[in-house]
Amino acid sequence: MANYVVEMNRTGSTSQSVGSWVADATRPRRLKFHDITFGSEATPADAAILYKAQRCTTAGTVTSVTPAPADPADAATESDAGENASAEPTYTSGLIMLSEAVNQRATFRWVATPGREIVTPATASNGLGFQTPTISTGTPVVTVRIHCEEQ
Amino acid sequence: MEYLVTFAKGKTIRVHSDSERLARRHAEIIVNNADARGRDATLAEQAYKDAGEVVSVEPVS
Repeated sequence: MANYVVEMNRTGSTSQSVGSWVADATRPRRLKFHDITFGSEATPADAAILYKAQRCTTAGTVTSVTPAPADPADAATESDAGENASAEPTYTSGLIMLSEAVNQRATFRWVATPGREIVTPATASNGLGFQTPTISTGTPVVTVRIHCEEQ
Repeated sequence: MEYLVTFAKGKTIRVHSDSERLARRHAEIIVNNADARGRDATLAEQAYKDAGEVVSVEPVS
């Protein structure tokens, strides 16, 4: 029951995801997402950005990012995270876990109420994908930072 | 499946993808974005500036 942290970023795109974090294909475990931050490190400007976290059943094509254990005594994660999608994860229609509209100048942090985490099944390649389906203007670089417990 | 993509100048990138073809394409996009966007590229993309052509794509898991 170790905790892991990942940072994902990409040049904002309304059609391609920031990234995904899914259970491993051969050693799947449940993931319990409990702390997620969305924001932009681009030159400050006014744009409306919609950030979404949605359940997915494939990772898509992404640059691998290794989740770092929050406690260095823990073993490496079995799960797979990646950023900067060029082929989308397979999203499950309607299963949107977070949908937050934020100005580019702002940062949004979601923290689960203890015991009310977003849990994904111990099924191969099931997890969450993180998207910016609406950006009112420009292509700002966006970052999503995620804390997750693996069980 | 995870792939290790190696560029002509020796840099490598790990890519999760359903196919070797998509993994190669992803790596090419990263390099193209790094070269085209310059300082506006993400830090991850900037690391692959001038990495050159993809020379190999090998499955690692």
